[in-house]
Amino acid sequence: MNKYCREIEVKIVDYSENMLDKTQREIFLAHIQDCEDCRRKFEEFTAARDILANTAQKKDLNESDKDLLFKRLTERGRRSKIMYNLAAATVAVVLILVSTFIYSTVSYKSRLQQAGQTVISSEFIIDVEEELINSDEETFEMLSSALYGDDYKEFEEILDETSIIKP
Amino acid sequence: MVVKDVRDDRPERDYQSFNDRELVSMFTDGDRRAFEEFYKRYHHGLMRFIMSYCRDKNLAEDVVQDVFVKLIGFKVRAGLVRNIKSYIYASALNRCRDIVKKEQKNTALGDNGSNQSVTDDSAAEHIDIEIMNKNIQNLPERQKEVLLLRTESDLQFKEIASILGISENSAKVNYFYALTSLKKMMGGNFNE
Ligand SMILES: [Zn+2]
Repeated sequence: MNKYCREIEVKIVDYSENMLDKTQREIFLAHIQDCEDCRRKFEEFTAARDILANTAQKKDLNESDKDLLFKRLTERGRRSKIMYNLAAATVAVVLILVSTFIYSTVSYKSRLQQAGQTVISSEFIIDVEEELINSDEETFEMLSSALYGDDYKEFEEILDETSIIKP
Repeated sequence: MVVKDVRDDRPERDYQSFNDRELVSMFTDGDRRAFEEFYKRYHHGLMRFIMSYCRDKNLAEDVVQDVFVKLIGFKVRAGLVRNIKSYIYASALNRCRDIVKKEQKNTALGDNGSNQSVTDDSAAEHIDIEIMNKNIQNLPERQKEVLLLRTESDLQFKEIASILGISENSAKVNYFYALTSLKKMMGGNFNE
């Protein structure tokens, strides 16, 4: 067994999907000629793909009621927009409270540490705010559970789903 | 209910140039043409995938609707969804997995579950497709998912890998074995 045989499945798929460049294609075909194991796999795959392509063509479907879906979306959209604005407003209020708290705590601390040692600017507060809005899902989760009550489950579900996608 | 079809004189490509995120935001605000464009991009592939997965047209329509509705939800609005396409397929996939799990439980309890037909084709073809669909359901879950995302929704292996959280090569290997196992399962049922 040749080194090229390793992950031949990937190469077969790449070849079949036209994902190899000219040189790669030539190397692939030469190997398939020489190596019986790989050739058998290739033939097996090609035959299977033909069957599927044949069946898939016969299968088609009617579109569902587009209008109804659009209506549902815009209705829900309006509702969720209100909810979202409400949530955003709440987030803003909480953030102001949190930042004020952090600011006063830190400035109190810094006053204790004597002025000059820790300089706190308003940028710091903005940083905290941005960090919360952009990346801190837990905070979002917390806020939405407080805000949405029972609907929180749905929110949690959405969080779960997207965690798959995150690199 | 009267829904106005807004196919006015504005050129279609205006909307084609918007990305998914922009379209979602526009149709959430009631822009019908944005919705048409988004629908054109995703509905068909999504529907085919879900229908092949759940094998029930009504269920599939419900799932598609739910997936679309999720797009106007909190998370998308808050900008926490990085890739809308992956997001809708991942949402659909999760719903499908739940549905199939529930169905398997029902079948185990003696209820025959829903094994509705998927096509309106003539009898002979019908049997072939029916057998094929049954066999697809019997593939290992990962193989089945890769196969359907590729063949029904025409997704790239890169996209499939991202939706399933696997490597691109692993997606290809799964696709290879899905197809070849399928052919073995079909055995004598398929003589081309
Ligand atoms: Zn070989």
